[in-house]
Amino acid sequence: MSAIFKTHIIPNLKLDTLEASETKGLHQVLEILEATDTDIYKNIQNNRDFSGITAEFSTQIAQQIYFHPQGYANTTEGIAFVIAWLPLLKEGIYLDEKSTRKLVEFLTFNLGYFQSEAFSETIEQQLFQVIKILVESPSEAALPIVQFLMQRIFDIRDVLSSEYLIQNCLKYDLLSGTYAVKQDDETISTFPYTIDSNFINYFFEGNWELFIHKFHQLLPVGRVYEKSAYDIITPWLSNDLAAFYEANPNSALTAIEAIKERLIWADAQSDALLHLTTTEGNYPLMQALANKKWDSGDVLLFNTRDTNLPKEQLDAGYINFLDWLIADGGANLNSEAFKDYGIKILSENTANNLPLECIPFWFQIAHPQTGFKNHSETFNTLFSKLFLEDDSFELLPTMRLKGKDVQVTGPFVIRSIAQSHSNVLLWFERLQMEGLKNPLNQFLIRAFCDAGEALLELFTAEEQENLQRLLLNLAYATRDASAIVKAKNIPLIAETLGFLCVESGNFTRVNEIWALKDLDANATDICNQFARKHYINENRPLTLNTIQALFNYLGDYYYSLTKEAVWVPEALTTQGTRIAQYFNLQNEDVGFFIHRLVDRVLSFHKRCKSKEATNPIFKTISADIEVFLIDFLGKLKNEKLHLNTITQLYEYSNSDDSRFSSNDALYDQIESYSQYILETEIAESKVATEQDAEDTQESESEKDSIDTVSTSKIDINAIEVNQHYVEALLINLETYKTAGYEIELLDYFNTHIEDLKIWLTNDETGLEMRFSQTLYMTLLDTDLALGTPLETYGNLSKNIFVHLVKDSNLATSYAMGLKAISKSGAYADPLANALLQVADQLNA
Amino acid sequence: MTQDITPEIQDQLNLSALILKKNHKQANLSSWSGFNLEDKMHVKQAERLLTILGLKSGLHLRNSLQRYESGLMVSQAFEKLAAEFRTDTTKTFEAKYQALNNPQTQNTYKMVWKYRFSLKNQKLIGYEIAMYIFQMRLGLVLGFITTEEIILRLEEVNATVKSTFSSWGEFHRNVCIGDEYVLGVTEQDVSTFPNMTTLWDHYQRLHIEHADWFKNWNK
Repeated sequence: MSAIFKTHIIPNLKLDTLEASETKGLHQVLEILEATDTDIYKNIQNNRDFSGITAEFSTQIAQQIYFHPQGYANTTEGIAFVIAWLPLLKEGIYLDEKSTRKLVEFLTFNLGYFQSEAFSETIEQQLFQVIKILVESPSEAALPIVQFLMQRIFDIRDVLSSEYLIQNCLKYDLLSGTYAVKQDDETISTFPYTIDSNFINYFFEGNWELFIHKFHQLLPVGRVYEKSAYDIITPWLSNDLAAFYEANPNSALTAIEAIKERLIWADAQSDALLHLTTTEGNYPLMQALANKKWDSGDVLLFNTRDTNLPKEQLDAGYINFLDWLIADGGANLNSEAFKDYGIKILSENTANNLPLECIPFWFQIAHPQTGFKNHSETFNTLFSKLFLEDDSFELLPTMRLKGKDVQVTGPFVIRSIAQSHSNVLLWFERLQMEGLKNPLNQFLIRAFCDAGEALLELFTAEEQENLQRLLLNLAYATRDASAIVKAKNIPLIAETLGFLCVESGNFTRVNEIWALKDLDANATDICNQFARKHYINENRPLTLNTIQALFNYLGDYYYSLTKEAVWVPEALTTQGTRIAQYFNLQNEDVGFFIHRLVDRVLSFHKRCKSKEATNPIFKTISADIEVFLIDFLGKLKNEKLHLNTITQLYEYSNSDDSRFSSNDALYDQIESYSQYILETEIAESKVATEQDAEDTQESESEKDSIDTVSTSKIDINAIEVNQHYVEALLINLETYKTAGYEIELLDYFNTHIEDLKIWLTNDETGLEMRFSQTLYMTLLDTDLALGTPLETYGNLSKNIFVHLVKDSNLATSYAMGLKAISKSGAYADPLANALLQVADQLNA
Repeated sequence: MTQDITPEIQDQLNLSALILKKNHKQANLSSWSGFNLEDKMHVKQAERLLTILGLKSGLHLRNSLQRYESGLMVSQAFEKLAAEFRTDTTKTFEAKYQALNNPQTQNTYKMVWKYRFSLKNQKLIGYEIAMYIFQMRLGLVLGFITTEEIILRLEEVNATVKSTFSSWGEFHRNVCIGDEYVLGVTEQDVSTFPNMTTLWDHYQRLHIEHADWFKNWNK
């Protein structure tokens, strides 16, 4: 039992006014205080019988025990007095309101002392034990103490005391759970610590503004990196507070300011407060942040945002952030707030969290013309990470627009540039000079590729042409770009150009796009498909140009050992019929083209055949060529072929280096032409003889005479030396190799050689010269030399030659020529000797 | 895979020796491309030449080869004009020539007039084939073409050249004429560019340094 009770309180206790139940209560108090040897205890013990009576601790008793203002006169004694209550308080015997108020007065008065060094830690511990019991007691004593604590904590005029109490509240876990309030009907109700109307009523005079004001003042105060008032208050945050902020936007704004200050000065985040929600799920403080114009502090604050927040809450924040970045001509880009915090908002993020506005923003800020030169690099890095290096989406990401996730599309991107630029392509042209390594270009390529066929609607024909040119330039100027960039972008460019270049006929362009395959292996397939589509397109009418191109590329296909122009075999195996039909429908004479085509195809077939043994590839090429020829010749009308084409085919088909013969269909096809020619020749000669009959006047023209004599129906008995037969002989001598040997005719003139000589001397049409020259040629023909089957024909003509030329002006010249030839070594000895003999005869 | 250069292939490659030397003085005529792929300056020079010729890729190269092979590049234009001039008299030609304002076209006219008969058959095929082979060798530097393909193509054009011309002299003369016809007045003047070697200089040097190469016209 403490001294103060022994000397002052117990001796002064008065029993007179007490009810029996109260006396019993007092009796218990004395027992607890271990004051059983006092007079008063003995008095009660002896005189009273408490059977059937319940003990009552009334206000009167409480005041007799606790209300002793003179005990507080001395600080140390006062503290000792308060601490002396502990045993009683532990038993649930609490102070009444009047004594509590006195206690609060004492505490208030001595707050300064508590913080001094004179106040020992053990005593402090005991004192706060008393306070804790009282604060947590379900009695009328609780509220005044709590009110005291609240008042002092929220009063930052005495910041030291406030801080002292905050730390001890945290230490002894005060102000959490519930608090008790005595109601008007003397009952005690308990309320949880949460910021609601009760809270405001009991602690802040029912004045929300007052609380908000003090709360915001208190928020940034406190020691750095230590717990502060915020840690006490956090559990109290409530929907009601949120509702208040929602109803009072100005308060929300001051709250934001307070939170920013706390972030800046105390380096502490206030997420719980910032993310306060109303019962409807609104975020009043985030809303306030979204609606205001930002300064650097807001950027810092936004950087600390909880990434788990619903996206709707963040959308506006991102947009504000972008606005802040380009405000004041980009001044903020140089601020620390951007370098240290702002960048993180973009760098530690993914595209699908960000608003669509990012794209126009990027275009604006990083374009060489409109952007900020020193910063375009930074943003290019940031956005290429977001848009280009993220593999979670194909070409373009989903982004946020008007509170929804929206798939970004190519047309959208193009239109969003168009909105701010009257001439999109001019804008792109400037950018295009930067080359493929500029991420903006890479992104645009994705957009173009994504837009696909929509490009044809987005741009006029002229612009499309321009765009193709720009894209090609971009692709071919890839020297600086890394291999990865090339591998990603060249196929996309090729694909885009595939959408753009749909008009047929411009093969220069087609080839240029096709050639993109050489820039990066990934584009090979796309490019080859593209070229195939242009060169082999059944939906488009064929033109001579296309056909010509097709067979030009046969060369590339062959020379590159099938590595280039890979669609050529498809063309060969599928287009033969189609090309034949094309030629069939042409009214003009296309024989020349067909001849060149056949010539080219045959020449490659021949080369393939001759190299077949070295590489099996050649075998496949020649097989494809044969498929083409079967299709093509099978469908082509015979009359489209020129005679020389047929001859060429026929000769090649029957030559040694051709293997057409193993291909029966083709062989038969070509053989059939000879039948065709025969038929046409008969038809032609019929026409000729008919004409002959009609027009006898011209029957002696040279052409007709050939026709009549070459039919080998000369009647020997009818021969006489006249113009008709002389000419027939001459023509036979000129054409015997193909037309056959008219030996009888020659023999007749040999016997009538003098007549012939006279006739020729009288002839004025110059036949004599022609005769001797023709005969001279027969001398040199090895087929007619001695020892050959046609020796007779040769001898006869030799004889006629000697007769005709001898003694003429030309004899010496011919003799000299023959001598020279016989000595040139061009002829074998027998023939050379024969020629020398002729020379001798002439000279003789 | 790079194949060995057989004497036969060397003989075919030599058809481009003059043009190659003219465009790249340090060229090693007995290598496939003539350029030293290890030497950055050589590769740069090859890249520069390819850019000038507009050969951006293998496809560009092959299309260009097609044009040279078919005569589309030089011979057709030459022959068209030559055919016209063959029917002209000195007077009518003079009139046509005077009517031109462009010195480059005037040069062309003069050239064609001079050779309108003598190159009736050969046209400028020699020059075209020389360019054809030269471009293949260039393409090899950037990997536009493989040596296997070059061998196949060489075989064909060699046959064309050897059947069109009867000696190295005749062939090289055609190359020189073709070069002058195409480049015309753009050929640098030695007086202004003293370090330049003209095609004619190269021609002489070539025939002195590699005399044995140009003795036999191997059909």
